[in-house]
Amino acid sequence: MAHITFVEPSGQARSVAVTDGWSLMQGATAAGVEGIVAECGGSCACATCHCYVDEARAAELPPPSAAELDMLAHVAAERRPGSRLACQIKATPALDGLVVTLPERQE
Amino acid sequence: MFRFDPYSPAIDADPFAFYRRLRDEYPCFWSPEAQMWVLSRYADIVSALQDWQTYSSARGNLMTELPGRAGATLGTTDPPRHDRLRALVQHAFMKRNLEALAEPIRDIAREAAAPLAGCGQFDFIEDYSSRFTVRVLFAALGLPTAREGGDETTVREKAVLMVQSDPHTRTKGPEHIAAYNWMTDYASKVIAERRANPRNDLISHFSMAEIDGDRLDEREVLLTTTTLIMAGIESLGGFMAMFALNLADHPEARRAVVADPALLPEAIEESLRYNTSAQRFRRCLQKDVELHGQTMRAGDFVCLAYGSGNRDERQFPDPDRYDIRRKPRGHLGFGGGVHACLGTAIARLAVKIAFDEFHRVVPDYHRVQQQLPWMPSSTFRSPLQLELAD
Amino acid sequence: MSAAMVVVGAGQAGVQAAEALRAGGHDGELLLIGAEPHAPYHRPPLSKAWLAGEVEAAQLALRAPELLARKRIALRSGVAVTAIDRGACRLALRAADGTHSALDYAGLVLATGATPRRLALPGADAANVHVLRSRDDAQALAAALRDCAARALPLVVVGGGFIGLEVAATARKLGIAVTVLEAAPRLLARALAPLLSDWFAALHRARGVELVLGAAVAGFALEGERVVAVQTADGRRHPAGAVLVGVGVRADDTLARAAGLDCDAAGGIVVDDCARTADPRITAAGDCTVRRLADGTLLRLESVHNATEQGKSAAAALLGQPRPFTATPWFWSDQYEFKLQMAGLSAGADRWVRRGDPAAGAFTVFHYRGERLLAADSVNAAREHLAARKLLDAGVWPAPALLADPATDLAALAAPSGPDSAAAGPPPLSRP
Repeated sequence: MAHITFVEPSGQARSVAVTDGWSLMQGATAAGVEGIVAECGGSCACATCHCYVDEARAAELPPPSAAELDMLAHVAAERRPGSRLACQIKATPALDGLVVTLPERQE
Repeated sequence: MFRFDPYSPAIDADPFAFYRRLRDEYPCFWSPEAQMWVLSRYADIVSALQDWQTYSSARGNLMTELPGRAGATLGTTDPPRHDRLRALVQHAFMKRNLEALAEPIRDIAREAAAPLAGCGQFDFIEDYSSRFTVRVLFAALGLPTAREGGDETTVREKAVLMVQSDPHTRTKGPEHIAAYNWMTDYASKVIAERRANPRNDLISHFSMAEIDGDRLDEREVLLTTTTLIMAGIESLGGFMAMFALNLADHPEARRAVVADPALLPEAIEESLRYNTSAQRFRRCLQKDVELHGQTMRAGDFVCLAYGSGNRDERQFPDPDRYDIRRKPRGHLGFGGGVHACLGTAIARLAVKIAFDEFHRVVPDYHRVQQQLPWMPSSTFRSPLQLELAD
Repeated sequence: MSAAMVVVGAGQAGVQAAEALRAGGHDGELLLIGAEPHAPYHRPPLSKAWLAGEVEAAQLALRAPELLARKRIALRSGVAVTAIDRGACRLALRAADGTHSALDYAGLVLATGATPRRLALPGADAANVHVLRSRDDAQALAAALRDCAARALPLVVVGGGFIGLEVAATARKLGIAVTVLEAAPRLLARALAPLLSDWFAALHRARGVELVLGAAVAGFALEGERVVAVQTADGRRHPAGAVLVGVGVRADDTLARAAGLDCDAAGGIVVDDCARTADPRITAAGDCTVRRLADGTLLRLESVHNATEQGKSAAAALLGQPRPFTATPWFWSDQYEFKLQMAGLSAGADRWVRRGDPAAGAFTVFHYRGERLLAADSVNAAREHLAARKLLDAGVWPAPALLADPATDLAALAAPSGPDSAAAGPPPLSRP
């Protein structure tokens, strides 16, 4: 279980306890966090679950796969060093306290 | 007069001759000793398994039920609630990637088999399978191991006692109930521990899992945990003993699988058909049913004799032959229908690895005892002891 | 008259339409009505991760009810709309407990989805013959797969379409024997290039699926009330513990039809590029629709992309801001460890150009009709898929040799770099 802070496009922060093994996208969606579209339901096929991972901790995450990198090229908002697809990051206790910011637009 | 008493030691020892008479002469038989109907033909059992609306599990599925269990476990709940609960438990169960378990299971098997080298004679159950099953279960469920202060021996002892019954009273005796209560107590401590400090293991997951606001309540978490412990230790162990027995008594089959371990999975499936340890389960009728000229009434209990269905020549030609090349499609060793065994995949994996490692250390063996001491249980069938020698 | 906007159907299209109505400026009452009792959920995982037991139901959530509530979208689950009175602008509703009520609408989005087709053969309604569309279907199918696994019985899949093949892959992953019966001579004949049909057929066979092409289902063999085998016209008998029928869906257009809206005989509420029907207060989106193109022909698209884009257009039209949706259609399917991504519409293709090596498991096949680039099917090549979408959106038709050459930067082709760049062709979604 990891407590993740999602910062919505409005600036509102929401702390969500994401179950181990759930993706950050699933955790955020189930908790009603605003700013994630996740059109493809987590299949790494739409790039609308784009998020910015706090860059100080980005290196702690498993690196993106080739497929995720390809999709990241397609995100609607600005792509930054901390850009990731939330459906590709699985919660583990090691991610506890991570801050994830959602971009102003997904499409 | 023909009698079929699932509590009698004769049935524990060898039910198959009885099953044959049931299938051939009394395919829908009322057993006054068991106070239930007995279905022995494959087709009738499969129909019943699929028709959960008529053949309900909500009044208990073990032939001799444990108190408070019915309605609080997966096997004793009907759809639609069953399906929602199963999705919670199954998800947690399958999340444990089987590939990830293979390594630990192999280590456990190696460690358990090593002391048997050069032994000459040993008890397969006491000296191998009981250690193996307990440790595998503990690993899969995330129970506190010996190193963490857990008591593997006692857990095993209680699990095996829980499923037995008193042949004379045909009920659970005080020692069986006591074992069940011990297990319930043990499980509730582990659950409380995991709730306070959740981990990435089975018990943590399903004590916290939720579907549309629907969660397992306290009683369900507890009783599902005890069932899983019982199944993991008793059912798995019982099946391993039966498989060992088959290989001990069929030297050709044993030599074939030792020479080519790739044959193990088929040999295991045939064993699941030939003499699985899960012999008989029960259901409760929700309406009157006419079958083979008998009228079973709503509210009556019905015994589904999987062990008999598996020997029904109407489904499996030459059924009393243990043939590891048979490919027994549709066997009932893991039950069937909506309650089909949750541990199917893990059981197949664990038994394959267990015997693979066992055969490396003990490639040749035969049974020492002429008569085996059979566990007194109306549901399960396995020996309490299986002395093997090379 | 109440200023309520009502969306009928709480799936992908309906949820999108509701959100777009609120985001687009509708300030009054907004209802999202769904017949299923579950909160809105994603369907794609039902045939894959969910069926494999890798995720629990809560992970399927499409939008949390609390987020919808925050947007003042009133979600009513388990409620069926039984009739539309277009004259009175009123809906007849029936709740789960059977109570009837009426609801006036100022604007209406129909997003009622589609229902799986079943086979018209004796035994087709047996308890162990399944379809897969809803979460409840998936739950029943999951139980059937467990039964097949436990009793070492095969799953027979009728129909080698996306649903059938995804379930076949999942069932194989679970160690279940699978037979796929496809009536056409090749898999996914209408959707994929021949090379890809063959590639997927080889893939499934390599993973242990018994794939029978050109197989016409003649009947079901029953024992009691259960199917024990599927019989094909060639006389073969395929044993089955359970059957999955994946032979397509029929649009749920009965409400619209009964209300006198134009619907295609083959199924589908007819809408234009802006998701509008002939009734100014009614729009439609997603799998329940069929789109009338500029040339008068009808186009059916069944995809998440279509549902979301049409949902947005359906909302925009009701807000008086018509939004034509003509982006290149795209689609994906995950089978085993391979992701197939498709862009464009390939009907009428007469030439195919390959890029990359199918044996390496990462490649793209482009469909051409004459000079015109129609579509692209990519396997584990997301970058190429995305570039193809850009090319198709821009109406850029590179010469086939350029696309086949792995050295060509596809993304650069799509971005016009000056007055001499390739002339843009007609927009997507018009027939060649």
